[in-house]
Amino acid sequence: MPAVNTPYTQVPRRVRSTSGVLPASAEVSTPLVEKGAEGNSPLDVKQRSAVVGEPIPIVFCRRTGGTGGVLISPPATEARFEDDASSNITASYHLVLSEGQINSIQVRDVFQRACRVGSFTQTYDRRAGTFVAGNFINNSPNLEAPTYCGTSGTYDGLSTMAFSVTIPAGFDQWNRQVHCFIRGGIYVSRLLDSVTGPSNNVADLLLYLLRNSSKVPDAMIDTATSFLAAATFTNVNGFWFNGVVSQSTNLLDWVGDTLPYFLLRQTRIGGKEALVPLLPTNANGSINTGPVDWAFTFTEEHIIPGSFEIIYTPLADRKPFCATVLWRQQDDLGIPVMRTAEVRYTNTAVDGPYEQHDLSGFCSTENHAVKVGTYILSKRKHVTHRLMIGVKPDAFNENLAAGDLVRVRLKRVASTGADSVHDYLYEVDRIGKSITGEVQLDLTHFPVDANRASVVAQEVAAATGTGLLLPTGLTGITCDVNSSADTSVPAETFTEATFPDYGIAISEVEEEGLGDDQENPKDDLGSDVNISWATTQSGLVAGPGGWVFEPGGLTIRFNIQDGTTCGGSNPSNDQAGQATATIITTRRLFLHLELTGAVKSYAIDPIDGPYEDDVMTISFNGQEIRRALSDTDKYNVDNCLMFPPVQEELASGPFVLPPGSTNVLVLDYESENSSHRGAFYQCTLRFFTEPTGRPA
Amino acid sequence: MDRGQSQYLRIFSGNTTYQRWQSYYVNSSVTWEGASWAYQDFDADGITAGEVQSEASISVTLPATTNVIEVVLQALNEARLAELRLYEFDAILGNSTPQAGQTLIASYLGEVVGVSGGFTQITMELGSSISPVGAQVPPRKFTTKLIGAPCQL
Repeated sequence: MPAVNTPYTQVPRRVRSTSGVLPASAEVSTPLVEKGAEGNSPLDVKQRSAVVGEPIPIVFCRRTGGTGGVLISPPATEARFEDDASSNITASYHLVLSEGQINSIQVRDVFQRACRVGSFTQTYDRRAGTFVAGNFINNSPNLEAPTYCGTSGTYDGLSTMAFSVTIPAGFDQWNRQVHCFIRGGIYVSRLLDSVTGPSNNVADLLLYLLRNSSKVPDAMIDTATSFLAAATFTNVNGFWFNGVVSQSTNLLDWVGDTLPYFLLRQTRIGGKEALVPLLPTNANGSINTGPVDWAFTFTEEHIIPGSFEIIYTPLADRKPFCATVLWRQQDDLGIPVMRTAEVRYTNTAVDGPYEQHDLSGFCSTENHAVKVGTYILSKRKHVTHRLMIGVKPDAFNENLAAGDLVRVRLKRVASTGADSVHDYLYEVDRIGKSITGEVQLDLTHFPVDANRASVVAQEVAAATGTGLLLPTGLTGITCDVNSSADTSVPAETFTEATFPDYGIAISEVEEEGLGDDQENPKDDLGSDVNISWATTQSGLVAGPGGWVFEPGGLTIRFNIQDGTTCGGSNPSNDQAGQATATIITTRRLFLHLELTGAVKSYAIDPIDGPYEDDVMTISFNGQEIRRALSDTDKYNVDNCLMFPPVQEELASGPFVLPPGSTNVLVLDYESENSSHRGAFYQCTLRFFTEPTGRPA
Repeated sequence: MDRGQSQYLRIFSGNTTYQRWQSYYVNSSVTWEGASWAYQDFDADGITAGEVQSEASISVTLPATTNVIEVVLQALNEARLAELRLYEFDAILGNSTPQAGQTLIASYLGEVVGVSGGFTQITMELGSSISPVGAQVPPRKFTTKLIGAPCQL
């Protein structure tokens, strides 16, 4: 079992680079760069101003049960500086707190430097406060206050704050950074309780990012199953996100960097975005430390000869090390303390090597940090190999998914020595299903003990922090003006204004204004041929159905509405339609017809016997040239199955269109029965300058 | 057992299905799961589930007929979804209509993210519109419209 030590000081060490050989998806890879804790906010610095083009931070947190919340240092977009006759300086800042709406901030949670001073008002979706930006210093000639004080904007969809403080003459603290302790961050629809409000669940955050960053359709996200299960898993085990997403990055990179620290991995199941815990879980989301079940056992019967490929963990990844996990101690006073948790196996890596994982940007509980460190160590120690096999399709095909457990049991028979058995449990990393039926599986060794319980899961479940809270080191006379117990929320004031829209909206070009399909003409007729259609139809109900054309008028289709006997909405036995094309040509052309369709099978009337149904007749210049109807050979007891029609050529084509002639082509459709589903007739006209096929 | 595999492709958006195709029962429409699936020759290159990077997309190749091009381009232009299903069944038991007990051995849902091909065939790429490159997080940046000309402190 790894020992947990939480020293008060952390000694960073250079660590080896990742080998790259065995970073299975279920492992947390070694960081390539180590630096100071991401969650640290310097307190006594100059107020930061916003920069156009800078990402708008997403404050994502929810303080519950005495843990969570995050201290933010919002940028200013507008400022006002003024003095009075005594040279006391009043500074006002307009600050952008977060993307979206966040909870109201209490008086005790607003700081300038480390001091609770000043007054503020907070709003959403508009400019907070009523002060006019500008430099109005008149009595303090030696004071160099900024003169570019900003204009204003719409602040659409942003949480904003106006902060104001008066500093006595002779002090320059008016220009210090404002900090806010946020107890409830951006409002999202929470997976676990379906309430819209702040959340600390990383599954909620990923869902928000998928929807808002990449506009992934909801149908492509496995929300109801895997996201909900992942949200339950992180909540039950106390893996909460309390942080700010402010660094511009690729979504997949963010996922790859962040989710493993919640013992989750993103995957796609059936193409849908999904989340899977890295450990076996019980139905209630807790870590399963009991015997595990596997979905399928692969034996010699299943594995394709020659497809077995095994990769053992290289020596570089097997050496003992100490995982130094950074986290953020976040007490109710708001100012955080950066902490480290050193996790190592007993009597190993006492003086390193160290591998530092920075969770301080979002992790505010020691147990979370310790369990992640334990997982990293345990996987590195116990997972000995990966396996790739090709297998024949079998019953597992339907149910096996990434993250499932499987057993591979193969007998090794050698010409010398005793027989042995390769018998291990594996976690499925990847499944490749080819159309030929062969299935490729990428597997990671899943170590279990004699009771078939996951070794890694047991160690992670057992790992807990020391529970020691580090003193903040706060000493001296307090600089607070406002009370640290003041939980009131100031009244909301704001400025309503209209602003010019600096963007442009490009109107879509109206195709009609450019003529008929000018950009991409589909009509391959020359200008000396003209077709005009006239159609009639009957027996149809509201909705799609009847005659439709492709651009250019060379293809016409009659969509037969689905009948009520086949789950449709049309009860009529008598759908019918007639389309008449008037074709005028100035040169000699030859017409070919292509008729396709899907219609009901040959019908049998119980009294009259077989009868004709779904009849389409085509006439050219008064002569019937083609006839199509239900196919006798396709008779099927299921009346709702559609088949290609049988066709009869009553006159041989191609059909001549003399130069200067006006010709009439008539398509006549009639049904006798309502049993249709997805039925249609489609006719394409092709014109040639020669009987055997030179296009017109 | 004579193993048969049939593929079904559905193009849809929300509750509206625009096309149901199957490539096994030649020149006939079949009924499966209460809907009619028209015959359309197509071929998919396999389905992968698991690691995100390895499952970037799958490809469905179709003949470049007028109807197919129109359907595929509309799906691309309007960001429609496509669901590909692969069923396995015993062809000895019947080969003219889908068997009630056929086994779903793979399915894939993706956005139509790309279309390419030659004159006679066209390939539709199904995948996720999440770009593996480029910055998307956080989704919004400070703009002139949002904050005007910010102060310079």
